[in-house]
Amino acid sequence: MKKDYKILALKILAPFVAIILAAFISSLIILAIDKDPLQVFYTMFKFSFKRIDSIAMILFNATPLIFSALAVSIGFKMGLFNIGIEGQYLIGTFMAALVGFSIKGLPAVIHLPLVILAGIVGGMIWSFIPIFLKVKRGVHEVISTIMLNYVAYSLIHFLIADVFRDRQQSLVEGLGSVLVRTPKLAASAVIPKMHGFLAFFGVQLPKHVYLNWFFPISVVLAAGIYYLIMRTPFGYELRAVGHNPEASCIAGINQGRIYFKGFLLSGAVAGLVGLSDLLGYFRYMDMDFPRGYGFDGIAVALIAQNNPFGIIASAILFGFLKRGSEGIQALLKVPMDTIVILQSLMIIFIVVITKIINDYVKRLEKREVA
Amino acid sequence: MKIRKLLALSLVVLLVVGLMTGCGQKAQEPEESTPESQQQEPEEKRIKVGLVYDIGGRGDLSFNDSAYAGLKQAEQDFGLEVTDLEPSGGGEDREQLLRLLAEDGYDLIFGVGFMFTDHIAKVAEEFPDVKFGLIDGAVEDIDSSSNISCLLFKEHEGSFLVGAAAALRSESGKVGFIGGMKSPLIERFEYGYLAGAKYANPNIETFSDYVGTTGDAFKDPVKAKELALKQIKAGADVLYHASGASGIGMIEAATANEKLSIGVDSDQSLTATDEQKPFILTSMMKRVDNSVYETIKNFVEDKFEGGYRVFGLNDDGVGYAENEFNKDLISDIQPKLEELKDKVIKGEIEVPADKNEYEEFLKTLK
Amino acid sequence: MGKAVELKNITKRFPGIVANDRINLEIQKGEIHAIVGENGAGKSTLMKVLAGLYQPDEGEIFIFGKKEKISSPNKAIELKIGMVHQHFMLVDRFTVLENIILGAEKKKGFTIDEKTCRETLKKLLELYNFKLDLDARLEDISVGHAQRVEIMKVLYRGADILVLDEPTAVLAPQEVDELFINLRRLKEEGKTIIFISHKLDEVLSIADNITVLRRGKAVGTVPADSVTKEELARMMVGKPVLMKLNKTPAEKGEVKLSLRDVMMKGHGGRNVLNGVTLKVCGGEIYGIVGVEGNGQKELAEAIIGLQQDYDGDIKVCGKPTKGLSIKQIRDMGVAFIPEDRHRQGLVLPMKVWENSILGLHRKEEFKKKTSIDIKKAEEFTSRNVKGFSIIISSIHQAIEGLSGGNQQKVILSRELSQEPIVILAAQPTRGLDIGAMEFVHQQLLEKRREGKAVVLISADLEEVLSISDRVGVIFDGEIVAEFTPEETTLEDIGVYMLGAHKKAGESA
Repeated sequence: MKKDYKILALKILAPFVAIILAAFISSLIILAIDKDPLQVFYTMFKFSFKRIDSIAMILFNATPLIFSALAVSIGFKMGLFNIGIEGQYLIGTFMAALVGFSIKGLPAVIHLPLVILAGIVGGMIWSFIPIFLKVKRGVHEVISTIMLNYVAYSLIHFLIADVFRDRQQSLVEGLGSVLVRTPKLAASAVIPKMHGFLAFFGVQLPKHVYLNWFFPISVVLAAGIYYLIMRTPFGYELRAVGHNPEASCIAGINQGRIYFKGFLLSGAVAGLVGLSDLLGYFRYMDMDFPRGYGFDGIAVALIAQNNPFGIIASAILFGFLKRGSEGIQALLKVPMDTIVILQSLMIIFIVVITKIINDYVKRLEKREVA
Repeated sequence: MKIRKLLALSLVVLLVVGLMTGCGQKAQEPEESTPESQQQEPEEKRIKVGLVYDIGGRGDLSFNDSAYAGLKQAEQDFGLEVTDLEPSGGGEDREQLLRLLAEDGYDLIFGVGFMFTDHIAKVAEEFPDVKFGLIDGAVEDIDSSSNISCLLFKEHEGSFLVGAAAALRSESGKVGFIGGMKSPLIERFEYGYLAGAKYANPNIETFSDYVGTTGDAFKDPVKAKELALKQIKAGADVLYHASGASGIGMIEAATANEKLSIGVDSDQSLTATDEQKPFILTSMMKRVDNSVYETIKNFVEDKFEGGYRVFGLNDDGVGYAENEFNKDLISDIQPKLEELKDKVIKGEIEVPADKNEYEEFLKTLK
Repeated sequence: MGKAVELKNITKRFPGIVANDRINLEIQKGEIHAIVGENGAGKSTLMKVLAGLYQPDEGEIFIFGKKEKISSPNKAIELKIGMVHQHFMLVDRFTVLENIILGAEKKKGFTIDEKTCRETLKKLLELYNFKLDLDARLEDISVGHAQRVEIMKVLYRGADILVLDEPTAVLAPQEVDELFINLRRLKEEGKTIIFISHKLDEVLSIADNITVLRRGKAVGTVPADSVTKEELARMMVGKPVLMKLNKTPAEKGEVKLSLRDVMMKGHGGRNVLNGVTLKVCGGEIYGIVGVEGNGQKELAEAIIGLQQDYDGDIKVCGKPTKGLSIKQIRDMGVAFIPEDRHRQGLVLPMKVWENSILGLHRKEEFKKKTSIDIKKAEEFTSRNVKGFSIIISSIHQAIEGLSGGNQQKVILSRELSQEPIVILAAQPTRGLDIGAMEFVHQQLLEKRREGKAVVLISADLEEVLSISDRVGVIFDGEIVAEFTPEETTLEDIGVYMLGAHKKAGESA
């Protein structure tokens, strides 16, 4: 019984210990560029948590990562490595944008769900290819998803730059340049911000904060996926296949069907990754649409050990690292390159240290039942 | 075993605590003067100018560095407090960086590149007392009372001159153009150049190719080199590019075949290798540095004006490069180029900026 | 002679369970000392204490008369204690030589001094009269040889005390004999051997002294030559075990499972099943015996539908199963107790209750709207745990923490809970202790009485002969002979198992 508390305490403390140790090692880098580590971290925290807009921004930053990590974790649960979230969300985002700008005159209650659905379908289409190849032809999903990421990059470029480029943008005196982007989305496709809702509770968000309803949606989805994985027969089969495909097969579980369903679900969630940015911020998709959420999602899921609620927490941690670094760059003039090193170091150390602590906890648990 | 673990753990804790307190002592003093206290400094306020590059901007030997040069010059001349920032990997925080500079009390903030168009429009609305400079982009519907100044360039006019230089220098009667990503901006370079060549020699044959349709087209020297070799094979002996870092491939191809090349944006003779220098005819200069400097100067002298500021041949916003390396190549045609420049400034020649205008222009030649 | 190992009051507790309760044990230098006990009696825990994998909560350990603290496996090796694990820890792609020296290579500069290693090893092999091809790849050698590699590994590291954890569980009878020859040779050379097993015959034939553990306590140590099998069994389970099962005469019903000319090709095009024909009726147990690797595994997989790539017919209750999914075949009433419970029967990291509904998880009774009715699943599991006397600390613990016997009981309780018509049991008692083995046999006999058709695939001849109504001998993918237990003897069957001659078996 005593050990139970120890395990619980270790589990909760793990990320904090990790952050402190990571900060300690990052300090060496900060010292190397002749800045004061304590001041840097102080500024980072103060900037991030003492301003209401920063807190909202952190949640906004975390939103796409929550979706992305959830998609990754579904793959991990069934023993597959969906490294193709990147391509899936870009295709999903484009599909959503397409439905968003090409349909006009619909009321928002119809248009917005339709746009979100388009994103989901886009992600599913792009996840269908690798899982089809895996189940039917035995192609390893890591290879096919990586390759499809590149295909998606180029396809999106082609679609935005050549096929659906907004040619209505005007040049002033024929000079300067315009964005290479899709037409702007109809107002009915835009996701509402959370300002009104929060104002109801007395929280006044500044106008420039883009926190929107995708954040609560992502939290609800995390809970939903927890329920799906841990409670439903489908989730049960998913986990069984993930841990032991052979025994599952002998128990009458159709492995191929689970792979199909699970991977499509992963792709569907991946399709939502870019929508917070698309429908809540840019309102168009350009050549420069944020990349890399798919890969960050892998790190987020790993830190969280694929636990949906852990994913929310670790995505918020990533959101904080991003917001905090904006603060130290603007206020302390820490160069961008250093910040990238800092962020990467923090993430590496957090991953490593949580892993060590978790392994230790697992050993304790195992000893308990042996 | 347990004892060893305990020892290791306590050692780590000691180290962390030690470092924290060690740093703490150092940090005590400077902390008193952290940024936020600067706002309260009563003494005479220095003008603060900020600049946000585009992704990977700093060190491009061209556009972004040129903007930085202008900023540095202004810092020296006017005793400013300046800062320059770069957005993170995805570039999603362009808007945040602009806003943070505005919040931090910067008086004039530049966004380098048309990607900043929408973001500057938003932030400028939130901070009406702060002035903004936008390079290469145009915020719609603003006038001189606005706090945004859009700095635009007539790249086609500069390209017209180097086009003429290419035609005058060509022995084969064939010249080529290589663009980066196909877009209205790069098309201005193209048609200005073609028009200049045709104007100088109506019988000249021209080739133009684009590296691609995506942003990657500006960093694909291999593809640019291939295109250049193709044009050289077809007979072109002077090549001009508007393709950012891809252009290096074109210069390499031209040098290897002892053909002439023309650089773009900044004076590329200065950054070329010794081997390439004798083969660089000239460069089409886009003086981003001048535009940044001028905007700051106006601000310091309280003459900042919103709206659109267009830089052309008339105010040396664009032009062609002459330096110690291309003196021999260019000196004999320079009188002709100066004459053309005059005509453009006086409006005697209307340089085309897109395909339609170019076709019209060709008709006037006949 | 002197004592090689002396344990005093060793106690090891895990939450909810005292795995070792004040165990005292003396092992003389140069003897073969067997430790027997049911699964969960604490044998493995005790050996892990000795190997430095666990730290005892109380008690003292003396090695060669000196008090020692075995803080890690490395320390155990320092003290010349070598552990030969039940599950081999070898690298398939490496050669025998590489496997043996792995981790203890002699180096010459930056490279491994293979020559010196080879010479040392050759000397060792000669000394102990071990036959091993040092250059064979591990994946190409038999299980018996792989075990020799494991033993050589600890000898190479200089072990004087060898701990063998259930060494015979994975071996064929001939291989067991060879192992025993090797062990006796080691003993002659002065090595001390601790032999963990629950196969009483083996223990009696090899050991000098036998210590019996029961529920974490040492019941007693007896010399092997002054004790009978029945006495040992009584010490182990605390109550007399019926070695001869009470078997009522079979009441044969209709044919429930029939195979006709089932052919299957294996890797490399060789026929692994070579025209198997057999019929099993309700109310009978059909035993299939044979030396391992003669098609038993493939036969079971074909019946359950895991392997569909065969010629011939397999019918359950008269309906052909070819082309049906495993789920459909199971739904026809086929229960399957797989040979390799870790790989095929259980999902080790998942909880006991989750494992106990594996395959049943879509049944109406566990359904609550969209989710699994966890409460009902837990109740179901608890009933099984009680009914099958499964020893666990909680149904929420991961099943990998259970002993082999208890794991097998979970599978058994799961597979038999659904009123199956045909029960396909592959090596159901492998690695189980007497108590658990007897339990499994009783369950199978119970199902027989209920009129189910039971197919028992086993390598244990005695087991097959004692509970089957008919016995088929499988050799080279073919049923080469069919007997009733009454008309044959162990020796007879042994001859057929080795393929000496064929008896044209009439299918009933």
